[in-house]
Amino acid sequence: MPDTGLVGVISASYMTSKLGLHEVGGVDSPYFPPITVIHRGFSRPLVRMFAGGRVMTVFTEVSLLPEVQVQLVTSLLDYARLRSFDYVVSSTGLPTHNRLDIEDLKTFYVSSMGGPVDVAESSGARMLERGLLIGPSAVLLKEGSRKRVNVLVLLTESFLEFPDPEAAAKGLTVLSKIFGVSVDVTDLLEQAEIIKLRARETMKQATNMMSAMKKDLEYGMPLHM
Amino acid sequence: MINVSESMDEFFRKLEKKLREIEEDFKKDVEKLLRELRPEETSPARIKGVGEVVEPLYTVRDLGDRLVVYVDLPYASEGTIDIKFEGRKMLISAGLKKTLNLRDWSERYEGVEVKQYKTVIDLPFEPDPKKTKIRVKKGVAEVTIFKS
Repeated sequence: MPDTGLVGVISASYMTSKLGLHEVGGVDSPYFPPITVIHRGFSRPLVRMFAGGRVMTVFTEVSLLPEVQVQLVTSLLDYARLRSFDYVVSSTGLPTHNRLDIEDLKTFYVSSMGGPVDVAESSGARMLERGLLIGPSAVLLKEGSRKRVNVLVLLTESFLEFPDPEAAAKGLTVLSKIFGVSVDVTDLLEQAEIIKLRARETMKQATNMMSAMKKDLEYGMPLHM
Repeated sequence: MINVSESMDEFFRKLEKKLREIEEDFKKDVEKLLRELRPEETSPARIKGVGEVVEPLYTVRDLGDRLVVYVDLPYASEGTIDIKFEGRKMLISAGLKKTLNLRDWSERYEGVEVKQYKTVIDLPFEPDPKKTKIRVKKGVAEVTIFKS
């Protein structure tokens, strides 16, 4: 779902295309806005599902209301549990004040089971020890923990209100290492500027939704030590 | 001879007229203020279009002693980035590295070619050019404006 720097949407879309995943379904709901995605002349649901090998991607480019996000994430976790998925992974952005000056982006992780995850550590991610998360990833972690589904949220330092394909590439590199699924991010980095230009309107919508969710609180310093 | 009753009537007629005028003026002032506060509700509906000039994304951070404006200008040719101030307005323009034909993205954009970024950002105060710093990195223009 569109979120910080559109990192999740860019990652899922690129991964889907790079791994040659096939569209296998989608999610629709009367609570979604009256929008359909036209692809190769066919009407597609707003939330699209692609699969291939041992990977499934689920994403939408349309910003959904916070209460709808909660329902959607909860339903997807139920589906994941029903289908016995090993892991539900969200690769998203972590808004960072000095993003402009960071050359080597760091990726953090949080697991629904809590604590360190060895394979994430050995793949170059660091555990996010404290802070606030707001949006779909927060719901994934909370519901994942409640429903005992393995959820891993990867958070890569990124711009908040600007599309950040570079952060998406870094997140995908870590994700590739963790799950042993090779995703070459060379094309993503080469097309980064055009992706940013194309994603302006999606980013604007997402920024409005993030403002409504008080997303900038993620920048805040946690009080609890 | 004018009796007291007629004088009183005249007085109240004038008072009533004056009060009506004040009420009318007050109504006009309130309507004007509401129009200014809610321009989107009273001005004709605008539908966003795509032309040869696109508006870049930007964000403004208030760091206490200074404002920092970040403008995202991906695919802009660095030598063409132009930032000017006019009173409390910041004017930004930049040319793209190459004209983009949006037909390549969707058939709905047949004939639309994008060549330039342009936008005007309203500032809360008039900046002092001597206390303003500009740098461009990774396709993002960072403009730091010190408050005083």
